[in-house]
Amino acid sequence: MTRSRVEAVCLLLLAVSMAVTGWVSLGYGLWRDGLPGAGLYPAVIAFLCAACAGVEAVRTQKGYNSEAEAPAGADDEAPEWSVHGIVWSKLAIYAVSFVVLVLTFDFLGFFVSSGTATLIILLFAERVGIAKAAFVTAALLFASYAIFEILLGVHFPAPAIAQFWNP
Amino acid sequence: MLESLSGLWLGLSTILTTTNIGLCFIGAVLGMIIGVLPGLGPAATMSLLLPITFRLDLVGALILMSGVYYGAMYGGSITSILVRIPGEAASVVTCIDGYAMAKKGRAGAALGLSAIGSFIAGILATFGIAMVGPSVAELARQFGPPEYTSLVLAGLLLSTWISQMTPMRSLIMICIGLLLATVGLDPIWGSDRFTLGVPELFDGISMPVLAMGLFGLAEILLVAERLRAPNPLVASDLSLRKLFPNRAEWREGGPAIARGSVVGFFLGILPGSGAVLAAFASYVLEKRLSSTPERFGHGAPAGVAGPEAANNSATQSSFIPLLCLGIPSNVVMAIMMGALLIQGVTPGPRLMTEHPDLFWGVIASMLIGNVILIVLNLPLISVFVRMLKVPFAYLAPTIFMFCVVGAYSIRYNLFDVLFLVLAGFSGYGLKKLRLDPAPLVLAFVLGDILEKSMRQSLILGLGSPAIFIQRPYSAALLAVAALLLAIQLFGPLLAVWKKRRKNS
Repeated sequence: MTRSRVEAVCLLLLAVSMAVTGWVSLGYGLWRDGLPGAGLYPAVIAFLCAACAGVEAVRTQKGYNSEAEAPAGADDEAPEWSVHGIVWSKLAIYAVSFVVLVLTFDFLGFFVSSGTATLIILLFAERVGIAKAAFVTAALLFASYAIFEILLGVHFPAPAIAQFWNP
Repeated sequence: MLESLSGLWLGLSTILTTTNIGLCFIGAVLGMIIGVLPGLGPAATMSLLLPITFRLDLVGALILMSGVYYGAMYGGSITSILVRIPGEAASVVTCIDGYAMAKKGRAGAALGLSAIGSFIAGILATFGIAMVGPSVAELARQFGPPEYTSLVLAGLLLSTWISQMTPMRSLIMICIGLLLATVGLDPIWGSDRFTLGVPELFDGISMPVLAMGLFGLAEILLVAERLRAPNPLVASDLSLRKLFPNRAEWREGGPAIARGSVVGFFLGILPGSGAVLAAFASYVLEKRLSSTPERFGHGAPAGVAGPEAANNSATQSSFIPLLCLGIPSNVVMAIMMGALLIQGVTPGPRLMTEHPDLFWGVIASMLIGNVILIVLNLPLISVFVRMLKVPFAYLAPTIFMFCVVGAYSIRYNLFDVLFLVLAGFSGYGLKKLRLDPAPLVLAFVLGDILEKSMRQSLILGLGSPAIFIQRPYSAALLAVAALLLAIQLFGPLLAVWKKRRKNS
């Protein structure tokens, strides 16, 4: 599948989802007691977005945007698209560490979950030695604690698991 | 004129005490740190500082809080330039060319332009507030909901000019941003929209979390996918002389700073996200005035200097509606107004006559605060740039950790951390589809104002949208918006038609 076709398909999916969003917005009411309803504004925006995405999908499919430049602020070279050069395993490890963090944040608390996620990134994605990884993780956790908890008074969540040790 | 100068003199004599200078220093430094750290913004910090301000005298309390505010604007640009994470919404634009300059080894120059641009704009804005503030605020008072609707629409359409995407793609991103801003409770009826039954979404999506995900985490993923590529962010020469902007960069950045200061000053007066709008407007202006617009997005010095000057100028001019009219122009000003009210002072037109020491003290503190910030910032540029030498292997988890802590610290909410990760992957996907998230974030920030003012206008107009063209300022702004859109959409078609006609 060519890049343009994938983009066109994604834009078409976006158009459909926006049309659905517009439809859902209608359910919030367009007009109520002589005042604009909660659904008026999102419905207008969603249907406009669906129309734009639909038009853009067709334009992309027909190749009008093949010479479109990369997004502003993007790398000088356009983001890689083909699987060549992309290290999927590394990306997968990043994704796993993000998921681990989200899943364990409440249960294990900030320090254990963030520490684990950081260690996963350092050890498996960035292939840093275990001693360096442990040192960097400890330093990051300490810096986070010092800046946010001590200096700025942000209270990190205590692990839910800790309640089992409470009398 | 003389009255303003004597007022400034009164302000300087009020602020030039050890305690007030100390508070100004603490506020500016704290603000700079807050600006560097993603997540916890000036509004959150100032709300945390509110209890402390009860124990200070009113002038000192306001000096401390305003120091945090403009200090955050200085600091916000540092992470935008170095790691492409906007510390503040107003620094989103700086990410575009600032980060591109950093990747070319000109991070120091970008930081220098940003710091010096902010300083010059800050000083000019301070004098501007003293000179023309009250009369300009009078004009802004004539703006009602229809004018704001048209103004925000024009601002959003301006953002389609910044992006190098096609106008249609920019419009798509703007619409998504506007829709994301509607998540939560409806501002008029109080019913929930698009919350999917998740209680955490009732308060809406957090802007810093969205920005951190779309820019910060997405950037980590984009850089991570290039396994053996050298760190693209390494500056080649760290000698102080090489770090500062060179003559060519000054030639380009200097006029941009002057223009950005003026644009920022006037847009900052208008309620809403003045600093964000000012930065975007300045970027568009610079791109349009440039003889080499194609360099924008790839490290144009004017793309850093103009927006940075504009956002700092707007930050300071946003004090005008609060101090002169008693209308807070944004959430930070609202917190400041809260601090004033708690201490028994009602801001408004009489503030200047009833509490001249307070009014002029705050304005004079901006002069001192800007001097403190530039003195702190310039020597620290080499330290900031040295941070780029840190290998990506260590930089990635650091950014990741600070994004997570930052996201959590905003509302003490695990859902925000989850949303951060979702936004990160979405940002990565958008980049792959050649969709730029910057217009989305701008639309998200302005979405709330747009919806409220649009609905209020319709109520005022008894349901008729004709109100938008019946009022002169609103009609003029709408005409500008329509013109911007027409040029963007039909300009390329016209070019193709001309080309075909020439060929045939």
